[in-house]
Amino acid sequence: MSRTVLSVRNLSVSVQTGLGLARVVDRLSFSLRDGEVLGLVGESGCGKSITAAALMGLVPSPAGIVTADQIMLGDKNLVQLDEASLRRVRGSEISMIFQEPLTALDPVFSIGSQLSTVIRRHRGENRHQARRSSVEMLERVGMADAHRIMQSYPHQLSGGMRQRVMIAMAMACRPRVLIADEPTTALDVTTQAQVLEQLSELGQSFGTAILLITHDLGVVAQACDRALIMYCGRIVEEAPVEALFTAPTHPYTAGLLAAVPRISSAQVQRVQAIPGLVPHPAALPDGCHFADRCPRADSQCRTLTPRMQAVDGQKSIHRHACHHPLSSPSHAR
Amino acid sequence: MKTPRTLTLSRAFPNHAFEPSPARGRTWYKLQQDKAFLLGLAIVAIFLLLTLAVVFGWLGQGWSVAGGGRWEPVSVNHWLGTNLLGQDIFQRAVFSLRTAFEIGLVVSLLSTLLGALLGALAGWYNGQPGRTWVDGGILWFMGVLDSIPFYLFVAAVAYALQGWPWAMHIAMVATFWTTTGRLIRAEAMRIKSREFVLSARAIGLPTPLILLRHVLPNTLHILLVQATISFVAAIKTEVILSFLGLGVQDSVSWGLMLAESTQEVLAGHFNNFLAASLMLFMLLLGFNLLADALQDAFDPRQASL
Amino acid sequence: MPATTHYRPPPMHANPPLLSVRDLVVKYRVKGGRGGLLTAVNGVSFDIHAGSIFGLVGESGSGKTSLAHSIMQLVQPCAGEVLFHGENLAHMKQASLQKTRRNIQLVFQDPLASLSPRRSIAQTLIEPLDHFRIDVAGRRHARACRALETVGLEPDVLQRFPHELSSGQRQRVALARALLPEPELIIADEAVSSLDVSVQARIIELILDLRQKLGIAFLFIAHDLAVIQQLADRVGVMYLGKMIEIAPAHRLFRQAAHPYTRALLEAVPVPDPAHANPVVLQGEPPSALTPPAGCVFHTRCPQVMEQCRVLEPLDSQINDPGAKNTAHHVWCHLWKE
Repeated sequence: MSRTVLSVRNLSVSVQTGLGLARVVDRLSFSLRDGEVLGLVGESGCGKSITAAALMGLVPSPAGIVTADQIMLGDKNLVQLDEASLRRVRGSEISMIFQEPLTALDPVFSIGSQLSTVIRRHRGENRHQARRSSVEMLERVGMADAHRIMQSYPHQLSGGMRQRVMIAMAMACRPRVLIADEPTTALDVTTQAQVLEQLSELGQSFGTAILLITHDLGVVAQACDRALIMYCGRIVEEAPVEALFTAPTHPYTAGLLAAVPRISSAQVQRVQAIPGLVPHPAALPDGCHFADRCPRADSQCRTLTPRMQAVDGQKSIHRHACHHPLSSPSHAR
Repeated sequence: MKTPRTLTLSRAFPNHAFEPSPARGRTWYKLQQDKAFLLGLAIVAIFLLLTLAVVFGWLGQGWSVAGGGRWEPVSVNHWLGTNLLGQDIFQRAVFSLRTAFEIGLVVSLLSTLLGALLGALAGWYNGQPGRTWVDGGILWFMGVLDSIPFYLFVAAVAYALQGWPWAMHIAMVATFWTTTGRLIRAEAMRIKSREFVLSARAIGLPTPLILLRHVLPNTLHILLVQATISFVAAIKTEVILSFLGLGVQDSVSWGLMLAESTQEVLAGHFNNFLAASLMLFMLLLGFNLLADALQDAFDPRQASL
Repeated sequence: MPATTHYRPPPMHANPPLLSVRDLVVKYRVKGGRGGLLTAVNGVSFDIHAGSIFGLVGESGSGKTSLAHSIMQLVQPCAGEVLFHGENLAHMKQASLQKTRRNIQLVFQDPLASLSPRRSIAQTLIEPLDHFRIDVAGRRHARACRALETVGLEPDVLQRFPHELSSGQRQRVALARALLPEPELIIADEAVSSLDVSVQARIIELILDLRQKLGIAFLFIAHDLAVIQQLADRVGVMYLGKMIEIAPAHRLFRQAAHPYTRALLEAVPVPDPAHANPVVLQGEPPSALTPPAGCVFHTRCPQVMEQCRVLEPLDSQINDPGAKNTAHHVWCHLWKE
């Protein structure tokens, strides 16, 4: 059993809206183990990106209120750190890559300059050493003409290349945790496959655990070991990826899987939509947030909030928060 | 002092449908909570009431009457004393409000309108094969106007119009519109490639309709702020022009009062100077607060609830 | 709704196509830098028949959006023609062009951007009705309500503004607006790409429903092959401004001919962890400003041959069907007749 590198307990983020305080992340708890790729999956507005921002301490202050019992990175509790210490941790022990690299990279500085700055800041190397390390990192992420890339500016590179540069910057200091927020959403499908492969390969060889945030179940299947499904700020299911796709227990997960179009060389499987609308974050219903859209909901679901519990017979590898889960794999199908 | 920026919830939560807020204008609702806005609004409202009082003949009518002795101190008859010619300073200061508002309103409305129309046309025809001359022409015109030294221009216009009271207004409108014009041109260029404009073009809507219905309404946030800024600029410019003798002829304004007061201050009498400066300062402060608050409130990127 | 449906091959058409694109070329002048001409669409031809859904697939830079815009005459093509009911759109007089504009409607990717932010939904919907002078002024409001109903929205949406609706609702409004003039063809440019999976599924259902009930043809542009398979009868694949394969949907997904199409099909991430995604295509797509000589795909093609670097491949028909619209065309030297 590998050790836990990031442990989050009861993370909550609230945001002020015109209709009141909205709990956009509701007492989230999960652990990230050494070397694994954990998917944080959900649709827009479920709170996954804000979770990432909260972990990095990047939630804008008067707007968002962040509380957590603990966010343990190794033996440091990030909740208790001040801004100066957080800045030291960010980039060196825990780093992040974003969806749209064009806006994440500064357009007026060359790639080489930005990469070297990160390296110098956290690894304390001098200019020459940093430049050499930068070239090394670029080659490591599969850039063929690293020296030319060093001189280029962000707008001169394609989306896939920019994303690789982001990965290089994030991994330059061998962080223990990498948070990747929708890293391939803005990329073409052919580039996406390349970038995901790069990411997992680097994670393996550097020993970095990756928290991969995405809405794309195909990406989860391809790149993740385990996944957390989020809905309205809560985790509804947590499972190893094989179990999640073959035998999901939460109706929302099942609904998502049925809604994803799949290419078939035989007969086409028609996608099925989940009925209803996602509730307003400031007007979340009592009990299970998914009850109004769930085919299996009853009065208990609308009054009692389901808690995370292990799926029968799976110990705590596969957990869900549901009063009427779908049958687990130990039952005959 | 500004309201904390709430997250752009429409974009962050695209799957949610938001109920319209109880107040139909979400922006007004937000504005009501901005203390700076309320302060600015209060100041401007007070001044506006005073101006109306002047316009209706209840205040300040005796601005030209030499009713008292030279440099009389503050008294019941003359609330702020009298100037060199024995005229009541308070009456003059209050009547100048009318001058100020009149100049401010005329210049800001006309220059903003002109800037909006020409800017939208320039921005729309920018890059359009066969019609780029519209953009080129308007830009050239803006360039020419901007390169003429302002006071030279005003003097030339004033001379050409031989003391016509609107000379100053024309001069100001002719030079102020270019700022708004450039801003609207840039915004129009940004808006015209957005999909709702493409939709309008796709159904074959004629260009003037597209500009009026789809482009210009989405520049309101710029126009409102520009109108407020040019109001302030007009008043300040009038003060300088009147100080130089190129401004109001047969009326009174703070500029004229300040011009008079240069002599008086040397003789140790400050009432005139203080009255004019303080009123000018307060009015401009009020409008600046308003402009800031409006800019925040009308920023379309902040779709808060 | 049944979980699977059998594919019915599209009916044999004796009629001429509804929309016909012939050798279309669209170029843009590039501002700044070295300038020059960007050829976004480089000689594309295809047909769409009434009541069918044509799926156009391509990644970014393939030129599919420029194609859509030039069909609508939002951008003037440099060469080639667009024929609607046999008539050339570029040569039409104002009156016929207006009628054609009624008949071809456009739906965009970002529903928030395609609805005018400061106009209410009611104003947005009534605009095409007023512009095309559809029906009597008094009855237009009722028409708007009926259109909303068709797309599954309540009439109270009319008072709202775009940013007060969810993205799914906005896209439905965009579809309702497209339906109001009762068009024969709707061009949907990445209409579901920015929607979440569950919302996307509902819009897909809606589009199929509309085709079923109203017989509207669709030109459905997307980069996601899985979505295309849900909707399209016929699929065209574009790469760097060129059409490289056109086939009936069931053939494309079973027997894709062009190496790019095959690579694309392999690269789509499958929601099944047992499925391995081989990385078939290496490298970056070349710049559209300096497209490669010969076959545009030769720089990345796993089966490149000498002639590919020099000679542009011509259209080959690789099956032998009765009707034109079940033909399978590919532009590749591997399949030369």
